[in-house]
Amino acid sequence: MTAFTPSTQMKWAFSARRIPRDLVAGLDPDVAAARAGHLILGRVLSVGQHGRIQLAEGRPATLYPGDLIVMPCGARYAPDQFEGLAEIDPDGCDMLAGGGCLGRMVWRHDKMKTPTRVQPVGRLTDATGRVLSTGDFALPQVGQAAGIPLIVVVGTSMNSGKTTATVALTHGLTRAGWAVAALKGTGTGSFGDVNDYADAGAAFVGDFTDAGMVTTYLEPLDRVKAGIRALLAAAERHGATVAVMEIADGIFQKETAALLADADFVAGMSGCVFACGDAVAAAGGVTVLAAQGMRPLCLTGLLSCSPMASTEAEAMTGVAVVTRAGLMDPAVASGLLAKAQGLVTAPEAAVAAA
Amino acid sequence: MVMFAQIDVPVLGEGEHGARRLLALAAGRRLPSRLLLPARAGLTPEAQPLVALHGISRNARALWLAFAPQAAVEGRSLLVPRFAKGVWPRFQQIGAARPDLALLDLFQQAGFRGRRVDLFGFSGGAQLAHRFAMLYPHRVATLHLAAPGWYTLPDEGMVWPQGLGTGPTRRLRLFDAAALSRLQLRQYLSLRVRLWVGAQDTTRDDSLRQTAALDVRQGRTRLERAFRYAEAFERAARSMAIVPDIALTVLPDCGHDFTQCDRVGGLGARVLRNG
Repeated sequence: MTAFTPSTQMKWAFSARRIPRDLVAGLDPDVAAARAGHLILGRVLSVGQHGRIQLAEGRPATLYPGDLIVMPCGARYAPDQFEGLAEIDPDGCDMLAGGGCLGRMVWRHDKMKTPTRVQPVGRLTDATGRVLSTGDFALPQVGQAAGIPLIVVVGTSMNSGKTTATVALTHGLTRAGWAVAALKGTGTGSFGDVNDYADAGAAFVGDFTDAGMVTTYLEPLDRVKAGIRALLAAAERHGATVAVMEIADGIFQKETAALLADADFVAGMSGCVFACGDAVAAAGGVTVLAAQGMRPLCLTGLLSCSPMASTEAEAMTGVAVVTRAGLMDPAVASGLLAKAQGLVTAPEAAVAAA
Repeated sequence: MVMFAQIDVPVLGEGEHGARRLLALAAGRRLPSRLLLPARAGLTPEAQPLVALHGISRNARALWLAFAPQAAVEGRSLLVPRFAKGVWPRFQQIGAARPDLALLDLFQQAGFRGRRVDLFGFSGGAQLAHRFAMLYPHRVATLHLAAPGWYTLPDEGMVWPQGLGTGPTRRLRLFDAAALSRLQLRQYLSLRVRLWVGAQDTTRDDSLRQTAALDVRQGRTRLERAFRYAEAFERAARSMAIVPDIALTVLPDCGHDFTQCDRVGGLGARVLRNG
């Protein structure tokens, strides 16, 4: 370990925000030994797809060649962007996400530029020489599931409307008087989502980075589930009376599929909302969820922008389509929550709103 | 750190008689209100804020005068909105207009976020009160309905707003208060409900909705309709294996007049004593 004093010029990524900077005391040059969560000091070699970094302070910062950055090592799964692994090549690594994720790109979407390249300088350590890692600064682990109702938002893919739905439902429930915890259970650390949750009025906001993970891609299912339990417990401790949790990517993505196939996770859900883009996707999603014993409380997402597609989806699935405006309506949101809590005795009622 | 807690701070303006003034907005419609915030905590820890809704005479001041002195003594918050006729011509109903959104906004501004309130309504205000409670039962502690002209019955066999059925001509994707009320019917029927009506509230005047169907289903007068509603509520609750907590009080020597119900029948004091 080499003694190291962090510079105020370093751009510290959002995904590393829980690690106190004053703990940094040394630099371990063995970057090839990095694992997911290890804090990497690097220098920007070339600016590619990600021209900006999301800072821990909550604002984006433009990147320039030569910038010193601090980001954790991590894997990434984003079908619209990159797939990457939590591996650091001493000769240069890839910036896989703006929120802070360094690794090795495996695939990129046709529309993506090459990743921003970073020369790793070393792994940051504390005064004892221990590599600083996000996992050591996570919310406390809990054994028992939280008692608050949980509505999970899933969808067909990235950009199907899950975050919009999560934000809208959070806002609607908040207006109805609930203390809402808006959570992101899986995905890639990014302040965009959690800032949107906070703006919607959530009483508590948190994501898997608060549970110590840079991303949840390739993390063991037990760790992902433990992170979700920790988030829910923290939300409950902070007075949340209901939780809305977004699960990233589509229902076929590895960790999402594993969660939805997990009996404990499903048993802990009060209900789910499914976001998708068209009627065929709605029918497919409802069928896949039904195989896991779930029926969505409602369909939403890009689909809901089209009255005709919504009508097709409702006819094929029997599940009501709710627009963003509908989810933001406190009466609709309260109705969905009641439905989620199993308080409905009548046959499924349409929960449609403009 | 991203995690944080939102802080609710009442948004207040000072007014006369110790009242503070609030202004809610719902889709551009203004709803002014008077708020009494106690200088000290309630005498009993469970004292709920009281929200009082006027009838079609829109005499919010009468409600304020009836409730405010004792509420102040008891350390209870009191919120009395006034639905102006030009802005809220049919404030009793939730549908095309959304008085419920304005009320929720007022609750939040008053610092009631997350709390249940005792919700009182007189006449048209009682119509709004029970329709609000059907959509937001989690916001209501005790529901006080005083002499509404008619009710939305907890009966899916009747089309909204007389019952909770959705009409065949309802346009898709419009706000469906009936469907949403059905979703929360169990919680609504679990509420503590207190019905109040004057013994002499038997006049079929212009302010009483009168149709043949309504007369048959709910009765010909407010007095009769109160009894019918109590029966319907009890029946619906028991059909869901809920023990109903509903009571009907007939106020002697009172007609359809809030001030009379208060001064002669002691309505204000009874409501503040929680029925």
